[in-house]
Amino acid sequence: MSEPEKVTDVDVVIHVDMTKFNILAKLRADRALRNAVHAAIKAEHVMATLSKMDVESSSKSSKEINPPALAESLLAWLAPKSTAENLLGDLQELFESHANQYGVSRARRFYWIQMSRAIGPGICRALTKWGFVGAVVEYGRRKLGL
Amino acid sequence: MADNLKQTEQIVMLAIMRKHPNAYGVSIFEELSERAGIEPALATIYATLEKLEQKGFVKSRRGPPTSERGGKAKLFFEITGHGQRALNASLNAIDRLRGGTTKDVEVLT
Repeated sequence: MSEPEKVTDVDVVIHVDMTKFNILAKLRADRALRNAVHAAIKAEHVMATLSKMDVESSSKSSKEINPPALAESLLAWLAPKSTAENLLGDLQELFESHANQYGVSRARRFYWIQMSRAIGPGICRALTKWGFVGAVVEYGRRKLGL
Repeated sequence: MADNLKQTEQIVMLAIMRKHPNAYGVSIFEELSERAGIEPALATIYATLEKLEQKGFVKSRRGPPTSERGGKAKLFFEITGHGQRALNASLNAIDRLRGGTTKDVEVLT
């Protein structure tokens, strides 16, 4: 009958060390897992913020990619009736094309120049013929059909 | 003499010919800008087209509305037979005037 194995202090130390190692390893693994979870939460938060910024910038840019409202209104009021609708449609199309190609500010500048070339000569003729007050009165008279 | 075309009318009609059957305000403007290197006002183009239509040289038809134009329809133009004859006569007159001159007109000193 063999003698039972004597548990030496070394064995205990090794056993304790192994246990300690396992505990440490487990702790490290837990910590790594916790860090990974925190990193994932942080990444998700960052993605949510980025997508929110993306939506805001696209809505902001979609607001900017519109013809200048004042120029549009002036053209609608003052351009000859026979051509106003065609002019507005063409300028809208050219504005979008120029905005994509050259940028919004250049597209807006082009729109203003075209608008002033469309209504400028008519305004000058009216002012020359009737003066400022006369031109306003004549415009109102024509609009009201009097 | 009533069929004489002004220079603006000539170039607009030539642009319509090049862009047929897709000749409308924007395409005529872009054709003049790219080929002739001029950027007339769109209002000038439409005023010219209106005069040409009154003379019977072009005719127009309304296309379907499109979203890129804010829901507004395109107005397409094409040259009539009468317009083609007037354009040919006008361009032939210019060719006759140019005949015998050097290719690049020299500056008279």
